[in-house]
Amino acid sequence: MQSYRPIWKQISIGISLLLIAICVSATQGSVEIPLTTTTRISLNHLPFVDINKDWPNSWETIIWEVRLPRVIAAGLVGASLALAGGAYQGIFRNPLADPYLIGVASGAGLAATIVIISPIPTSLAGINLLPPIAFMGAICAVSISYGLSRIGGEISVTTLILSGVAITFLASATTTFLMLQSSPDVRPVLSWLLGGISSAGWQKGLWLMPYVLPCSIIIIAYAKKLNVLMLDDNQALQLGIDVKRVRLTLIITASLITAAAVSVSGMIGFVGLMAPHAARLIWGADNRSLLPMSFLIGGFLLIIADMFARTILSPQEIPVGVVTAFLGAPFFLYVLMNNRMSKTHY
Amino acid sequence: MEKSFLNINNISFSYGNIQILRNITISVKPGEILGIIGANGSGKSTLINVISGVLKPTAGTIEYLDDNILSWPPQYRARLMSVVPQSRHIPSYLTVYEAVSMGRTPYMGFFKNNDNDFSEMVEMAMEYTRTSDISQKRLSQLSEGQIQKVLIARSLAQNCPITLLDEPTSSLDVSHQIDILDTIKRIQEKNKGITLLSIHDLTLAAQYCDRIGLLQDGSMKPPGGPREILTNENILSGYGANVHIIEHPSSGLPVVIPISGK
Repeated sequence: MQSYRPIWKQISIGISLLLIAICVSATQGSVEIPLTTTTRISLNHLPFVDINKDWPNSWETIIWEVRLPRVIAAGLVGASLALAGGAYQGIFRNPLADPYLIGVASGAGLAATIVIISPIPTSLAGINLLPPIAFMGAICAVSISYGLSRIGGEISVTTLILSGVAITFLASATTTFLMLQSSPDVRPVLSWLLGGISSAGWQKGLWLMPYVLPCSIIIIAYAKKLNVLMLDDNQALQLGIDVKRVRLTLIITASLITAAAVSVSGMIGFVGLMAPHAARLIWGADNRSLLPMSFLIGGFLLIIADMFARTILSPQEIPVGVVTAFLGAPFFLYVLMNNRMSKTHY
Repeated sequence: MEKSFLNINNISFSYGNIQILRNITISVKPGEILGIIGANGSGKSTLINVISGVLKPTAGTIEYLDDNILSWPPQYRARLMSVVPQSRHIPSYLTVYEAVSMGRTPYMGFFKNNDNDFSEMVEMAMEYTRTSDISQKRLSQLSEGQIQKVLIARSLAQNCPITLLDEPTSSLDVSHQIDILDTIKRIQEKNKGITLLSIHDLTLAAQYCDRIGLLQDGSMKPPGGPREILTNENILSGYGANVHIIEHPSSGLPVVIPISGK
């Protein structure tokens, strides 16, 4: 898949869309701030940029300390879930694989819930323990569903999805049970679980960075090997790919990035499914463009979804997971139907 | 044993208790095409899969240049041996160029996608298989015979001294069968490589292979020339079929004619 494709053109389109979404989303809220001012406030915080300040201090606080951190966190979460989804779709050669569908996200959610409601401290020596613990839950979940789908040698797509669904139900039921058992007020955990990016300064974005950055680089660096892996296991091996190792590396990395996203935002379904599909429909199935574009589109989608979540029922907020489900479920059905009609993409 | 030969020594393979291959010993020299024939279920595909590293043999060694290649990591083995698969399991959204360039996979580095010989090898491979003018077409637009040629081009781009082909002519009509085998022969004459191919059509096997090995219930007698192997007795015991064997009018090689009934 080495034919020359102007991939930088796609990426710059993606980045521009993302920047526009960030600025537009930051204008929305209880106080509406004009787009130009929002942009200028944001730019003013960049190094080497000095803009003549002609806005009230309260606007500065709203944009820089409340909205932007949240918008950026939403973007990172969306990008992470989308990249993980794109990677899972390639690893399992299955267009329906998604961190949510194969049980990874709910495994991570269960592990995180256990920590949140139990007396275990959520941070140790300044390091937040949620992402690594959620990661363990995610790995358990993916090992079970992947292990089951491998029975008999070749991966069975149906078994993968079905066992993923079973694990999702089991993990969610356990989570609900634990929540009702432990705390008299379940609302904080519940709203976290339903998927929400509450504003908490820059902290959440900073949690995510050490996971998102290295994992994204690793996943995108494997794009070409993933292209070869899409042939089938035997051919990939005969072309010199260490199939087991590549698959294991990618499963671990994608699960880690999913777990980090889940520990910040709870369960947000369908982003990991929609973004890679959109990228595939527009730019084709070459993972070297598919993966980076999924990352950018995922960020874009979740920023927009979070904007709706904040503003539709303002001043009340709805969980962003509800918004993505409203968008995603019809999209999922569309993919299913399309997949039945033509197998050209897989 | 010559070290420049591909030496397959006493290879056995079993799935659980069922033994599929028993003590197979074959030696193939550079510049030779060795055909593997045998009835369905005699172990042809299994043998190809064991040689190519997809299946691990339960006993035996495969040696090349005095080294047991069974222990080589996939990337090194893929620089030594290319495989033209039988399956049509190649995504149809790929273009010919993309499919052929996957042959360069064993040479790519972690950060550097394309090796130095990349374009040269890919273009040479397409030229040799006469697929250059369809290089931008998608596989979904091609015929079975053309896809088979693309897979041969991919293995040519892989630039290996050893080539395995798993029934390259099985689903093709007669003109494509000849086209594919001529292509293989042409490449062989230029590269003087080691070629192993499994094939169903006995007459074609006789015309194109220098030596033939007959697999029968997972065992193989020492391979020999077409006249030596393609005899009435061998075909009766190997396939359970009665045949007439006549001489090809121009090459003098055996032509196998089935007799209906018993």
